[in-house]
Amino acid sequence: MPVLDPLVEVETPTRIVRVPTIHDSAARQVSGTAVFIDDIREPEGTLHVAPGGAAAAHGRIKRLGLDAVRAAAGVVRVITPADIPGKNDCSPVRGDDPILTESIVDFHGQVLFAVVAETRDAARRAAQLAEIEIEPEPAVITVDQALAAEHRLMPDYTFRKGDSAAALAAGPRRLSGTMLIGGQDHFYLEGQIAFAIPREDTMFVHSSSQHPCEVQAIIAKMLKLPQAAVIVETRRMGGGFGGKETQAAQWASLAALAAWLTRRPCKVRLDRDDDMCMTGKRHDFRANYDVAFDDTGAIRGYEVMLASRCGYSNDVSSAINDRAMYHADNAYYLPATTIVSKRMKTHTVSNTAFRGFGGPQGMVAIERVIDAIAWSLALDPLDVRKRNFYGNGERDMTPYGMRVTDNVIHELVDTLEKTSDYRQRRAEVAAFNADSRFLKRGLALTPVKFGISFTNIMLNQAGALVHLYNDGTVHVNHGGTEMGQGLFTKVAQVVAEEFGIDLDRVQITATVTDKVPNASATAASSGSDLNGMAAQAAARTIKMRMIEFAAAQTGVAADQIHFRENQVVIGNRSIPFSEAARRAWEGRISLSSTGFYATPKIHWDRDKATGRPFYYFAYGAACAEVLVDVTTGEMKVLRTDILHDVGRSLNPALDLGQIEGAFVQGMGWLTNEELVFHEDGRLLTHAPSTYKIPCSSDVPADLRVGLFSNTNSENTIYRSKAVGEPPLMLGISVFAAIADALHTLAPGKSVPLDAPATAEAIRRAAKELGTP
Amino acid sequence: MTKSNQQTDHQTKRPHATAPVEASAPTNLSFLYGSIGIQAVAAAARSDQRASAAYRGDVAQALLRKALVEVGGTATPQTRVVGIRETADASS
Repeated sequence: MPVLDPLVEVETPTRIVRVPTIHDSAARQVSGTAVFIDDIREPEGTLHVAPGGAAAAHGRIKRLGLDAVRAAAGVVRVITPADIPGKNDCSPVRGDDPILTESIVDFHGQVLFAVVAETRDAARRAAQLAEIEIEPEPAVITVDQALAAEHRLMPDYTFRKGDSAAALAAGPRRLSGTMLIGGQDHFYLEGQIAFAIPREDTMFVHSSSQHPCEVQAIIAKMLKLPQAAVIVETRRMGGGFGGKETQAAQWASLAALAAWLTRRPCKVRLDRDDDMCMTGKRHDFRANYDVAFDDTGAIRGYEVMLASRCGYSNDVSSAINDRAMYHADNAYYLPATTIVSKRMKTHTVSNTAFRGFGGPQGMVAIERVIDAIAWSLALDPLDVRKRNFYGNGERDMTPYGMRVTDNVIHELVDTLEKTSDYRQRRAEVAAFNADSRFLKRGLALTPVKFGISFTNIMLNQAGALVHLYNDGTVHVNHGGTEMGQGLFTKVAQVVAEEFGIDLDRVQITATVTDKVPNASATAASSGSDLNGMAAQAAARTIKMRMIEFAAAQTGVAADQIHFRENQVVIGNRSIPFSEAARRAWEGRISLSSTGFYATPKIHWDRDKATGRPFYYFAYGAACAEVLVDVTTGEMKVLRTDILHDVGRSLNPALDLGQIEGAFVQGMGWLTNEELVFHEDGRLLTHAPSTYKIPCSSDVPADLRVGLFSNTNSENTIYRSKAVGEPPLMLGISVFAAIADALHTLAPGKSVPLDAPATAEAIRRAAKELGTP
Repeated sequence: MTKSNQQTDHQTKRPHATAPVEASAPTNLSFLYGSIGIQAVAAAARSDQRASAAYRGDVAQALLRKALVEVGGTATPQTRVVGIRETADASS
């Protein structure tokens, strides 16, 4: 009997997976025919919903005057908290995110009411007519203000390994410092949107969400309906990046509530400015560090305090801050360390998931520490990095009690060091800088080690549903969502590979809660790992039934029956796959199956802060060279070389796209993208006019991306590795290269550069280092 | 744990209030300003700037210095990032 357990690997040559197949929606997306939620033809009678927000960061609502709003042209209804039949909450975990706040305002722009009108324009205009009186109360806006006031959202959390205090005291060298690490807006091309359509017995909601099942559960609680009576569908998102993991729920809830109250289809599509003001972002951090090291740059002891701006509520800040701690080591062995996480409550929008989920912030801090050590010792930062890498079989224990057993960082970095001509270019950079007055070049090669799995163990599960029709075509559905990353294509490849059929015989379908229930968010880079395995399990179940049927019909042993190249080979003859499907159907064999997968081996003891939170690690490295004008702060990335570990790639074309996009997004986070809050709590950078994401001319003209030749030591789907988040942290190389360029201004001194390294920040640092 | 503060907090040092007025405040944001009126909205927009006045002045001086150097015969690829960029773009 063939081995059909998805957890038992059978290594055979592949025909569909590991092939650089084009994204299933690529042609439609570039031709404008891919259907996003706002492209769905609106049924007659569709209404539009606009939120009305608060004009204070913190205070008590004294009066909410909505008469003028109700009287405005086109307005059908105004919704307030009193209209919610069930629970007024759209939070993912803690029950602290009101859909419409009732009496207390906790951030500037918090939604107080919603207007339902015949047109979107009418709804938005009417929302502006509200007369709102808010009794102001003291507001805590920044991390530093929250630290000073000890304004915590949740208790501190600490990882301890060894005696870091003793190690620091022993030295022999010691540095301490502080770094500010900015937040980031998701800036998905498709903003937050939801479209609710009341049906006879159910509420159907199109939601641009990374987590349709959570949206379903929240709407059900809000409307006091069973979850089975709410159906949420997501065909595709125009980008998510974590910003639609939890934050889509509020807008879907408002659309569903309006549809429930009016019994008409209702749509919410946020304006970009509103979207940026009303939805959470990447957490900004303060990192205070203290490090002891020897004359070679080897770290002896490390203490770091990572304090973040969580905003007014929990959202998923607990897990995000945990992940910042998990990645406070990046690829470096820390013999004795204490990592303290402070999750600060502020009167700002509740910060949320963003690609990397806190990990990037923890990594940026340790990379700054490595640079500072190198600067103080007049060593090349790359040499200090390599000196501190985790070992193989030794020096492999993380600060949270998990051994690093799949370490490839040495080989990967050594390879990139050679292919990028790092040493030669280091000399060239030095020569250039010696003769250049205004312009300085910088070079940095930085590593990435990123843990893969949801750190909330429960979430590491997935379901899939596969139907084989009697014409030999396959319908595949799973709990993962498509946000441009190519998940649907990869899962379709897996199913096609299992059946041995061409990819065009597999029909990709929208994620919908009535096909696969209780799905986790598509997040934590785990989409392909989880849903690929679930879909493989479903396909193998059907395949096993077909093999048993064929064996019984022909007398050929089951292990002599194979599926390949659109044929089913039965002993010494073969029949088309479509005929095999038809015969099985005629033989009354079920050709539909669910599949399920739960990640093995992972566990975590929160009280003891130890365990194995990650199934495996993904690795990568980037070498960036920048040119900096030290008199204006202008910066240009001249060249970037990337080598990234995706295990045995499921689809090299999609993986390269993920790596390139993530690198640019990470670079943007650490350079151009700056969130500025006014002291009264207003977000000042709420549109492209003031918030600058990287544009095409910011992408290095010379960008060389390679996939590291590796296999996953764990039994993942076709031995691939997750690729969604890890390459974002390759962008740290650009930030480090900028610091390297600035360091030439005052060798031996620490570079006073916070993130993001905007032109103004670079210029400020250059001045502090003595440039006129 | 050391809590040294070697670097500046740009969020609290930025002189937003002195920044020049932008062309217009986005009307769709007026809900954020509630009943404080359009004057307050316009005032708020004054701080809607990414770069401080000090930085702008600094850059203006730098550009002037570089222009003088360039008048003296130094090629722009040695004085300006944009010069390098133009070279790279032209060759690609």
